[in-house]
Amino acid sequence: MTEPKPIRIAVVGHTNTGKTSLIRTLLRSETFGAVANRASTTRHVEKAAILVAGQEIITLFDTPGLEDSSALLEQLQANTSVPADQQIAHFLQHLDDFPDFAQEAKVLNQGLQSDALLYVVDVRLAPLEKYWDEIKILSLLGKPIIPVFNFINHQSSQLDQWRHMMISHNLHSAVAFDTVAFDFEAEKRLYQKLQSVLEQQYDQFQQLIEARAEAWDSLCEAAVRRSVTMIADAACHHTGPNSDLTHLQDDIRKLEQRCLHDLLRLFDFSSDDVQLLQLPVHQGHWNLDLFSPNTLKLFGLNAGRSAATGAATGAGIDLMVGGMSLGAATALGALVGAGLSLGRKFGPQLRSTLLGEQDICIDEATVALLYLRSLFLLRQLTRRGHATVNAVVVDLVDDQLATALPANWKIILKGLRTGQASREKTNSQFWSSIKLCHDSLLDQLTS
Amino acid sequence: MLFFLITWDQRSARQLIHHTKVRAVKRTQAVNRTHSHQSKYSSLKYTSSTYTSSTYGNQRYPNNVLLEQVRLWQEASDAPTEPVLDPSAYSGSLNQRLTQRARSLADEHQLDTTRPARLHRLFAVLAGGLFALLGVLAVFNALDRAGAQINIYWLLLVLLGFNAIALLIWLTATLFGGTEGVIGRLPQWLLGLAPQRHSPDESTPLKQWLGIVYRDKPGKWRISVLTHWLWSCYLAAGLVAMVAVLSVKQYDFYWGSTLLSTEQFSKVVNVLSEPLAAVGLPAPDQLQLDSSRLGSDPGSSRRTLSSSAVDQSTSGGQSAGAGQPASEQQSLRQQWAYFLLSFIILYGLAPRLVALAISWLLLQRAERRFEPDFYLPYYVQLRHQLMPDSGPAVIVDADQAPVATLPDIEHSALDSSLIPAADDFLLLGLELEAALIQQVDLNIDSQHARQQALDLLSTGAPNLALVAHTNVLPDRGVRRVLNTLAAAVPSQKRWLILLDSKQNLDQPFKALQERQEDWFQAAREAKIPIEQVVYTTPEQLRQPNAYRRQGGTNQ
Repeated sequence: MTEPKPIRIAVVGHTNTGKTSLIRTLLRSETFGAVANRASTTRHVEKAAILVAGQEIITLFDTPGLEDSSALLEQLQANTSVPADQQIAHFLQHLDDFPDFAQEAKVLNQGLQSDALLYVVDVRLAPLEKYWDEIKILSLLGKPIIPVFNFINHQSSQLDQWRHMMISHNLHSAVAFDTVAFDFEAEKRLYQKLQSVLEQQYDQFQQLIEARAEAWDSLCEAAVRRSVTMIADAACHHTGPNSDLTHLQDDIRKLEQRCLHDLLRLFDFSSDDVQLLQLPVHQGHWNLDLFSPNTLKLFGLNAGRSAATGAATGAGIDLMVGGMSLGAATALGALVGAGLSLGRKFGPQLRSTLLGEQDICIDEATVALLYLRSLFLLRQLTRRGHATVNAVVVDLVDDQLATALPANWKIILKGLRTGQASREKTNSQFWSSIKLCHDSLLDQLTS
Repeated sequence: MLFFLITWDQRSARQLIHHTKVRAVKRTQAVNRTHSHQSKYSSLKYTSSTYTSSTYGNQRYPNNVLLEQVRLWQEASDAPTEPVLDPSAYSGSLNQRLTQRARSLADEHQLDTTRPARLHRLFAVLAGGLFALLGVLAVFNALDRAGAQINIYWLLLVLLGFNAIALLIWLTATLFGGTEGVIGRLPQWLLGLAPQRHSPDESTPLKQWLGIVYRDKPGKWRISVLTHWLWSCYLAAGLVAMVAVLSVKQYDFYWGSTLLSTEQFSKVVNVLSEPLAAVGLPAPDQLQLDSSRLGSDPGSSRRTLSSSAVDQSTSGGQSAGAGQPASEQQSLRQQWAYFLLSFIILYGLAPRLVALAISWLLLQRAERRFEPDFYLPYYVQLRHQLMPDSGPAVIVDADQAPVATLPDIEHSALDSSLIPAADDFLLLGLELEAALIQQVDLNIDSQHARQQALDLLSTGAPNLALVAHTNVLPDRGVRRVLNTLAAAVPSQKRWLILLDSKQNLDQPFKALQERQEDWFQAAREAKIPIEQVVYTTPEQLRQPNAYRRQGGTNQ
């Protein structure tokens, strides 16, 4: 069987509505084309392929923005000798007669060679007559047009008016897709709309949608796993008896920074993006110190519950219980000498417990804080489009941070504290200990 | 220590090269298998198109180990940064691509990724030899100490006792310990790998490799195979030594018990002997037992000559069974010797070999199922690079027109005395938003409105003030309207009033400045005198005295 031909989709629209941004987001690429908040940023027609398993499924064409369709339409209609269905062809053949419309010509030329058009709309602007003129011209191409509403999450969004306008112009399969505040479901719907108008390429779209969903899920899964691993590492982290408190704090901060670094790489964001995320993050480092009481407050935790650091011999005991609960094997382990490993691991803790010395680890509130911060970070990362150059729509306000801890937090915490006992050897036992934490993080992230 | 530094790895580098049979194995996450019920992980499946690994028979495990080796090497601090990968250089499933990349990376940096496996095999052979030696020594030692007369059950206990205990521990640990059992714990502890997770740079390639192959289920079965192999060597060598010694030296065998009565002891012996008899190996009969009992009753009806020999031997006599026919003594000795050897085979060597075989089979299975954790950020990123979701951008219809570079605009001070009074302005909005329409005389957002405005202007308006919000982009269409309207009045009567409000401050400052520049260029195009481009807020639109020059907005 020969490979099906890639589906050609032209992304068109008024200038500065986010055509290139849409493509960047669909490609997950920060480098495609040029993006700026000005007119005529894109002056070439540029293409890029969307691949599934190395095979090109869709070719996206980025086109220059339409700027003066009203005048073009006027001129086209003025020439009544050309029938409506040949007006575009006539225009493209007699470009010399229309010196001002070189950009429009590129768009229309590309549109003629495409299977469908994505008409990008900036819903922050009012649906004026000129946009209707654009649609009129594009309709002359005789290709399916799917309006894409961009910037729907913006405060001055006029989405309803736009929807109304599109419907009144018989464009019923519009889709809302914010290139700044990314939403994977919206991307899926965009492909589904295309799938519905390009029925012959149904299977290709289906393949693409499935591959994209799978890739997105695995990305989220990998990110959640990375975060949970960090939280568990931190929850189980111990410094020696009577060691310096700042030492512990440094270790925990490092764990969190390393996780942050990994997550940014995972989502393919550069350190420049971090500043734009409006996270309290600077150059890949959290600015909001984990151990400042204000951080607790910001994340809706009761600072009064305990100090941000604590002496927790109890966790040491927890750890021991975790170790012992591995069952008969552990008891037998003692027989053959493997017990030595437990002894080596827990011995000092046991001794310090007996001697009344305190072995320090982070307290409950800090573990909770790490959890909430991870959730916050993951939410930001999963909702950021790769086209975002300007300020992010999601603001850092207190009530957004103050997500409630999951109801079964106590149990989750216990799992986190005991996970490390089996950590160094096998993934499966470790994951079963921290599975609850993983599940609730993923739930809260996707809900 | 040596015991654990060895392996039973059957593979070598040469095998890596030949692939013949391609077999697709559906990817299932290791975690999924363990917690497939109700687990979140199970809901997540890589589709066959991306993660199905076409594996080459025995290649699969070594390939996966190679991936992990390279990962650990790269994560170590001294690994050089890898250049951006070219996806077109790779082909096949993701697993194949990962392997291709790992191999080329290893070649490029001359990493000897097969050396640990070779060392491991060497250690396994050496340790096997060592254990064989130990087995021989144990036999010599036991027989040597016993002198010419040997308590046969004591000898068996000495030779097989530790083996039995070890086997029992292994069995319990394997059955009840799960993956996390003692068996799995031992190599980790002995290798001191525990703290390595966060400091991979501390570990050597050998340690890293051991960490990989002794991890999870394959590790558990590998260590099992290793222990059984070593004990088998020990027992087999012991057996051979026993045969050798018994062939060239003459021993008399006896037995005795302090705690057990003859009947009880016989019962125990019979129970142990039954399996021997069942597989056709010689087992001691009652007569044999009675004959060899230490200090057995001389008047017993079943008294044999050999027992008197034992009696004598206990009192220091040298020639056992002196009063018996030599043939009978010889036969008795032979019977015991055969029993001894059979017992070692059936209760020592055979269980070990069976366990070895089972462990080996389970190791093969575990290796087939082994897979690196593809959810690690390392692998997810590689996947992005090796199997990209998108191709590179290509310009298909280039813009030929040169980008116009516009001269900078020089601003002069605003002379407020020149500003006409509010009544002298005709305020025309350029695509103003609904909330601002009330502020102007007419908002130009359609062809109809434009025509209306031109009509108004043709009646001779005093001053034309075109009002635009900086939110609106002065694109070609907007500029055309601007030009058309401006042309309707003499240039000294043209004003451009730019509105700005807090609302558009969600733009970065630079973008805002660019937008202002764009409007100034539009004004230049429409031949609006630069000093007649002013700013104000929507509220102060009708108060010309509040108009200000550009600098005023950039607080």
